[in-house]
Amino acid sequence: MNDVYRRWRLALLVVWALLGLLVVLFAGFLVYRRF
Amino acid sequence: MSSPMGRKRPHQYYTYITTQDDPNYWWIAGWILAFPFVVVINAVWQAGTAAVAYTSGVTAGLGFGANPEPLPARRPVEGLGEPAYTQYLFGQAWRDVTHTVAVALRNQQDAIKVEFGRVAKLHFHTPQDESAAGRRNVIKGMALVAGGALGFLVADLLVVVTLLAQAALMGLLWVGGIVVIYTLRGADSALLLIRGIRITCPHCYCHVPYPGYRCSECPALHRDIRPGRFGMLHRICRCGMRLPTLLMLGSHRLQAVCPSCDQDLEESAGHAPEVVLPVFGATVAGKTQLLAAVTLAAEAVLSRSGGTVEASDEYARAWYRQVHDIRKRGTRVTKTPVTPQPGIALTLRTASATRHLKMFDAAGERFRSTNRVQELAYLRRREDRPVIVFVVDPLSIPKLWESLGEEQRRALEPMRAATSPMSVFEGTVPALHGMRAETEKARVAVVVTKADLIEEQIKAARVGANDSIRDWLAGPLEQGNLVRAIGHEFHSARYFLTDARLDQPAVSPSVETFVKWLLAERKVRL
Repeated sequence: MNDVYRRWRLALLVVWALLGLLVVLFAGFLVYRRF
Repeated sequence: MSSPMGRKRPHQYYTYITTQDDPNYWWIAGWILAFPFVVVINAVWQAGTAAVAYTSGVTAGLGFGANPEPLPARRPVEGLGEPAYTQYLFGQAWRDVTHTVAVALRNQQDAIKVEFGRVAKLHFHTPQDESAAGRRNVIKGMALVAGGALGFLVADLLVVVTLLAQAALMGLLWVGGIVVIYTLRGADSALLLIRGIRITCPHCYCHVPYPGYRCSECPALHRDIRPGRFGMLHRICRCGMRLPTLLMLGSHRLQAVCPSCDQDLEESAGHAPEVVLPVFGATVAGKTQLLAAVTLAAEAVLSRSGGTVEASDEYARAWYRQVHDIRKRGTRVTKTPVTPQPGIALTLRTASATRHLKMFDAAGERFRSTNRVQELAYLRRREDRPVIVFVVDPLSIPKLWESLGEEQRRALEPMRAATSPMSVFEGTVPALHGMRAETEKARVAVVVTKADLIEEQIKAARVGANDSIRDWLAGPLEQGNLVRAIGHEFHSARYFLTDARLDQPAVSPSVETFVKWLLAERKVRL
């Protein structure tokens, strides 16, 4: 299928992945600080 | 043994109290001690599994990974609105968010089902089920269930936070997109203003605020290609072709279309400033002949400084061929039809500048009627210092005509305009006022034509450049009223005396002088 939004979706995926990583790292940091 | 109550099966009694002598005592004690550790380890593991399931769901939902399931893009409906796909942030992105979350949550549910199914099958099966005999461990199973539940809960908390962050990011991108759109539109408009770019339709003569564009691959017409909800820097046509949205990004390479009459504008419309050259004058005054000579003079003047002249559309190409043909054969231009004629669009290129020269010709009969003049919308121009050309046939000035000999008059009679310059002026200027043309801001070029036919009279009157032509008209030719009216009506007037013969080896310097003045007025350095 010719996906006309492929570039945008790829960009979004990359940004979301970085965002998810950031959330996980932040959560890990909070746990580390708590204990 | 049958029970006293008539039950067929005996009661079975279980006890969980074991003694150290029991072989299971240390096994059970060990698993009870390991219980919290198993819970924590499995919670971390299952949180990771859930995060991976969510991530793979998002990846698949966006059309990537091993099992992509992207949401199909909504195709533009033919004949309804712009023939382009909506820009990602202004439609598809929000649909993608809900779709990816749905796919991701489904993935997570599947992962949860698999995990709990595996634990149940391994540790909570009935004694009769022999499939996992010997591996049954209720304590471990309970720890795994507790750990799994905790892990999924933690993962989902993280997912909710991530989702909120993703939605916030989308919102920011959306706002950013709107800011980018209006910034680009503003920058494009500012650039057009700074460069003094305006577009006049050569067919309907209307000012074109912004042209529509045809797709380079299909016949789709994009009426408003500028940055908007169909694209910021580019838009995607319904045929899949990427089209630039701004003149500064290259949309001038597409075929521009007038939004008023839907006819094609000249090539590269809007890429360079226009030099609009409307002419008015009596029938047979020599307007078309002058424009033909202007074409050849522009070619000569520009080629000397390394520049070029090109026809910008099919009509201009035909005109260009016709002018060169007339020059070769030594004939004269034909009478301009009374019906409105398209403007002649030429692209003038010098080493430092490009200009779109648009020459608007009209039959002299039009300048006898106010209504017919007002149909010529190109006369109502709002640009800075517009130029308008008033073509004067000296043969139609009674004083000059009377000064000619009988034989000369007989020979020149067919070439003489029947209407005097003052009559044409008086017929045209009120019409210009009627159409709210800002004549007080316009520069008028009064071009006295047919100099080749009255060489003797010119020599005798010692007529040379600008001022001497005006004085000649106002003095010996008794056109003082006309000269004063021109000075009163327009911002300024410049007088030219031209010999627009096309059959000469070279274009007359008098026409070149006019072209050079015109180019200088439009800030073109040669």
